[in-house]
This record gives sequence, structure tokens and C-alpha cells, in this order.
Amino acid sequence: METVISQSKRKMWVIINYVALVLLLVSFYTADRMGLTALTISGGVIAILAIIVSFIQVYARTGLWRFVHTKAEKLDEREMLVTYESLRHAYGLFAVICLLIFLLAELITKEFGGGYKLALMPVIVALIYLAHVLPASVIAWTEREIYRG
Amino acid sequence: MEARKIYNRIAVLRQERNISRKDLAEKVGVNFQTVGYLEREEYNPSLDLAFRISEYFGLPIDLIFSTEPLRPLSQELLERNRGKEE
Repeated sequence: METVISQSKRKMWVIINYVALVLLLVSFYTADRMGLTALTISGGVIAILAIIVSFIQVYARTGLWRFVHTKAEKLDEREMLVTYESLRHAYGLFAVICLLIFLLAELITKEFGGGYKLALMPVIVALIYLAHVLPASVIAWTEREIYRG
Repeated sequence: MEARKIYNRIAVLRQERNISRKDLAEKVGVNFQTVGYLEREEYNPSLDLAFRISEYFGLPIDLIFSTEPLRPLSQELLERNRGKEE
């Protein structure tokens, strides 16, 4: 039985997902700089759990994750239009986010790092995750009617 | 150029024939959510989809879709019949 998941709830889960992703990165870099502490470990664990739960709620149970990764021939004409628009918006957003992150990373390393070399791999992993979920996030954020299976 | 809003009678016809959104969606080859968008007039169908819907209901396409707000179907049919008689 499908039930509608409200737009406000979807927006809330999308925000939780991205905030948790940022929290995970902050926990990682804090641990990298200051060593493993109870705070960084708990921050990281909470972030991972929040990412998993919000991912299931907004991308998996609604079918949005599968939807944006489905071949065009399996979609109807409205779905193709929705997918196209979400990819277009996601592409633009992703470019801006990448630019901001790399500028920020450069700034942190050069100005405030004090010789600290920022490991880029966690950021790159986060960006790859972002590239995959952004189109689904755009749909979750903008579409009026999304059902949860 | 912004697309014009297309009004339709899909919701009325579907309820009249007592068929679910899912059944109609299956018959015309779209997702059931698309039927919801069509009924709320939030999505303009392609010509192909409009023809599929009109073929399914067995009605002329201009009786289901219009660029003007639609009047009740009974009123429309009455006027058409009067036009034929004259």
C-alpha cells in the first residue's frame, strides 16, 4: 500500500542527510587533526547512522534513488521530464558545491592550516555520494506527490 | 514560450467508469502518479498520450482535453446534440 510522504517531511530528511554528511566530514577532520576522542567517534557514528536512516527514508523507500538511475525507456513522458529537470538542476548545484568546497579546502590549507595538509579523499568520496543523490534530492525537494512503498 | 494550460475531464471520466488511477495508468502506459498530475492539470500530456487516453475512453479528443476551462460533460453533449438537430 502506497502512502504519500509529505513535501515537508521529504525536505527534512534531505536536510538531515546533508547535515549528517557534513558532520561526518567534520568528525573525520577533527579526528585527523586532534586524534580519536569520544566526541569525534560519537560524532562520526551518529553521522553515519543519520545518513543511513535519512537515505532509506527519502531515497530508498520512496523509490527516488532507483527512479533517477532508471533507463529513459522505462520511464513515462512526465517522469522523463522530471528526471531531465532534476539532472539539470543537480548538475548546476554540484558544480557550485565543488567550487566552494575546493576553495574552502585551499583556504583552510594555506591560511589557517599551519602546515596541515588537508586529506582530499574524504571530500572526494562525499562529493561522489553527493553527485549520486543530488538529482533524487532535487525531486524530493520539488515534487508535490511522492509515494512511499 | 510558456506552454498553455490544458484542461481535461480525465478525473470525471475515470470516476464515472469506476476505474482506479492504477488501472487507467496501466491501460495508457504511464505511471499512476502521472495520472494524478494529469487529473490535477499540473502536467500537459503529449499528443500521443492524449490520443491514447481518448482511445481508452472511446471519446473524441476535444471532449476530454481543451485549452479553455471545461463545462460539465452533460451540458457539452446537450449542446452538441442540439447543433446536430439544427
